Amino acid sequence: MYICQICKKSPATIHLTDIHNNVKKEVHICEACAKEKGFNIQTAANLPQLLGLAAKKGEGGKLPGTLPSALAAAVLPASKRRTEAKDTVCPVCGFTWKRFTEQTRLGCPCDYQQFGDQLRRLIASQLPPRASRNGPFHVGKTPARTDPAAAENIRTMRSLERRLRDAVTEQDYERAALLKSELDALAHEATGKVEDAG
Amino acid sequence: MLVDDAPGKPCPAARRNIGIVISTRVRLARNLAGRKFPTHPDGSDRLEILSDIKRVVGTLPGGDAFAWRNIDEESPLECRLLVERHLISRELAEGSGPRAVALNPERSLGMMINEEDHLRLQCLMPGLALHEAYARTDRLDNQLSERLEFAFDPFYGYLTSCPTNVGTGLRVSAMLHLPALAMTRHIEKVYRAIIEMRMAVRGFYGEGTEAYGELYQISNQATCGKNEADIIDDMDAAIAAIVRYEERARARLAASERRQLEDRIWRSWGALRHARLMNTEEAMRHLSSLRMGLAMGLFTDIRPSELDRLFLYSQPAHLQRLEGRELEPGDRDAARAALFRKSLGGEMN
Ligand SMILES: [Zn+2]
Ligand SMILES: [Zn+2]
Repeated sequence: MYICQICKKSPATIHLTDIHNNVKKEVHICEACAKEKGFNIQTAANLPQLLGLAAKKGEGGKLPGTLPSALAAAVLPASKRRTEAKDTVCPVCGFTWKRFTEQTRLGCPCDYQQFGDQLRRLIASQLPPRASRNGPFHVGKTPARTDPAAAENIRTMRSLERRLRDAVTEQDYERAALLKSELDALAHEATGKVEDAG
Repeated sequence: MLVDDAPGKPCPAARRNIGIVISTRVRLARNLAGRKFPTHPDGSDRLEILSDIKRVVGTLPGGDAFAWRNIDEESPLECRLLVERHLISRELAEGSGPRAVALNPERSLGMMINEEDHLRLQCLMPGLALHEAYARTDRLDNQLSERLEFAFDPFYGYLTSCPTNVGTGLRVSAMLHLPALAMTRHIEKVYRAIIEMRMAVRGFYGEGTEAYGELYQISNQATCGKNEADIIDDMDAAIAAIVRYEERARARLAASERRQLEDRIWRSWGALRHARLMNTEEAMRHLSSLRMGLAMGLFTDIRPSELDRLFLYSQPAHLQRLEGRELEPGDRDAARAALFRKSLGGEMN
């Protein structure tokens, strides 16, 4: 049982995970405070609201751990929050991340690759509590035409890549080296057999 | 027509079920690889996608039994009728461009084409039947995925137009009748519990609507980070918990406030049989009283299937269909009250 981090009185019924600069932080707040911060509890994973809050970055940032800053951190990488100068354009549908945040719908399936980091954060913020933030996010079925073993391989490699990047950022080179050799072994095993289905 | 109740005949969509779980629904979101989502403003792929999917469905075993309707060619009234019967979503009804619905002969299994995603498979079953509804949807999905290239990424799962559906693309929901929890104001606690279980609560017509007739729709929030079986099992457990809660609230009311309870039921019966004007909200509240009365054995003067038919026909598009013409809201309230008086043996004038 957690106590609300904003009012420090009521029991917290809303739990968010905020990964910022590779530090995982749990945010626990009560319903009343969530409402006051403009967070509609009935639609906790409502995308426009997540994005809307993210757009108001910097405003609610007085208290560390208040909802808007926590969500902004979950949705936008730190560099993007300071400067949104570089915005990749999807070659298939012409969408940019900015356009997605305006329309709240993506343009085509390739956007999941194009907007990798931003989308990954957005989706990670909606994962159920016990799911791994490093992925793979999908743990369900595979289409009939996709080889399940190949899909599993790609899943594992992407998770390893993600953890490797974290290790490098945290300058934990010992862990990084370990992850790298694991990744190389997998890639070697998969060569010739697997094409990235993404 | 997709909604083909003959006048004077029993309504095929009306059920005899008076339980707390009115219906369960399973929905899978799927898209074709390498094509723009239907939500892309240029919409150039839509017609081709619709004909591709239609062709493939025709080659499935039993695929020619699906009835197809192009929603862009249907009248607004017909579209609203399909929405009121939960056969299509409001988004599909109110969208634009080439889009369609396909439904099996029983109208329980269907597909929406070019809603927010290229393909949305859905199964609607009376009562609590999540596992069966999923099994039927899953079978159709497997058949389709042998013949169509779905947009799928091993890391993210099935790719969808809105990232809140990515992963399994699976949304399961149940329509619950919770009058005792609403009357005892315990519904707020239930709301909180549901949100803690990472599920969403909505009113009768889905997103953002009020809970008319003490009917609540609950659905899962997370579509990824969990597999299909866990999503369904968790929903099953959540529904079971809410049902137990409602049952306890009913038992408490029956024990301590039986007179008030009976008064509410008989007042509703009186209003339905005699009122001259009645809007949808009031109608659904009274019908909810009778439904609870039937379920608790406090009231027996109406057949469950007739009650269910009146729930359907008290909604605007159904009512206008019955009257055979468009009605202004004020005239609708009069027509609705007349329908109840006639159906429930109240006086005619
Ligand atoms: Zn608080
Ligand atoms: Zn794109």
